[in-house]
Amino acid sequence: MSNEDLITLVARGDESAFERFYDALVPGVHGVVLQVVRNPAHAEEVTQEVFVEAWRTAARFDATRGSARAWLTTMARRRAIDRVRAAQASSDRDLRVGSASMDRDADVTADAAEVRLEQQQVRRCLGGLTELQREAVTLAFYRGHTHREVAGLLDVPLGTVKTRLRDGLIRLRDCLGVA
Amino acid sequence: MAEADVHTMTGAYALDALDDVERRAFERHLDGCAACREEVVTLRETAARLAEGVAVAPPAALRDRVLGQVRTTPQLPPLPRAPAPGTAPDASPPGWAPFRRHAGDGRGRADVRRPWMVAAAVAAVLALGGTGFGVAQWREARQAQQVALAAQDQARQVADILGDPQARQVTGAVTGGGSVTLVVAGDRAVLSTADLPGLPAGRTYQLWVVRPDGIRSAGLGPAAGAAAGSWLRPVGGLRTGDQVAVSVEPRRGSRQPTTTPVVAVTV
Repeated sequence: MSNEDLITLVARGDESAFERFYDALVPGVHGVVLQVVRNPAHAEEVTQEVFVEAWRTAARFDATRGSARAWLTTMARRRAIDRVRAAQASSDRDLRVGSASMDRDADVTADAAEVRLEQQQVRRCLGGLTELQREAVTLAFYRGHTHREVAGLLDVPLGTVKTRLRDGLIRLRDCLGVA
Repeated sequence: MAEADVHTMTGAYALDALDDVERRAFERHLDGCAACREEVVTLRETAARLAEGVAVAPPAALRDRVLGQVRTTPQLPPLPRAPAPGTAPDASPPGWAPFRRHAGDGRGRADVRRPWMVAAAVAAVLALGGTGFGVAQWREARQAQQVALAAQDQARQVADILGDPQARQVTGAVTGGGSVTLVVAGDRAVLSTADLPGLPAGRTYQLWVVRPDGIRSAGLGPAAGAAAGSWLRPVGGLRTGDQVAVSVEPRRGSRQPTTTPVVAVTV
């Protein structure tokens, strides 16, 4: 049963469908929330909020606007970013570019997560980007920075960041075989 | 914002890397750019795959907490679907067709055809320090609200929406004179009119929500002479891309529009 089929059942209040939906999608959601939020306890809270929100709003999921995975990932990143921005004033979040390299993240997550084919493929495709594309996409996606912040961190013009985010994602899309 | 520049924002938008003002401006652009919408969908799917690249299994205790909370959390109903059986979309008069989403002749799509309006709206938001809807407009709208709305709960809805710091607005010129402004906050909006011509006895303004799969009534405006000038009506159950339109109808309203709308604005 596809995630989209599951969410149709979830919208009707089917709790066992929700459990399957959770099991299928929680690793990706939690992984991305953790990347953005960093603090494991806060990340768990955000992941919980995201799935409760998915339960609450399942009937409003619109398959014509993308997959259930994309819907949930978008929701997860927005909440994670909101969480970080709300806490930003009081936190000493490390903004240095060096801390955002994929290699280091790979070390952090490799123990916790099964190294699956999917992850290898994502890493391979990220490896196929130019350095600037990869840094821009990584800072925006995995760190939740705005394109303006990315421009500041990488010390390149805003227009360049916009272009690199777009052509970087397009290259990833083609590499990952996203329809 | 230059047109060529706007298209390159699909990547930043798909990654939620735009600030609020830019995001709203880009969403206005998306309304009129099918290629951009398509690209955003595929780039969002790509981003979702990137999440898989960092997948981490959370502690089992989280699963128990989520399932526990879900058991006590009520679910929202689906967004209202139009229309009722027997009033299929193709039952609408031919004059309506051009107002369907993306098939438009540009009327009411002021946001798409007149970029300066977007710029002005953005500037207004910036001038207010990002608080959304202008204070003067809010006051003006509120005065009209006090005049126009008898029902207390309707008034509360309107105040909620106009007071929402996330609210955005779309304006459209009305055929025959005047204009309408739609202030959108989430799935709700308030339609406010300015300098509208009055109507003959026995006629009223009626609001409609137009979606590619149908048209539903969003209630009546004032009738006859009272329809002139400024009034407000809340509209609920909206989605991005919907159009809110106004047509002139018999005093008690119609199930589907019977005249060509005088204005349509895109949410």
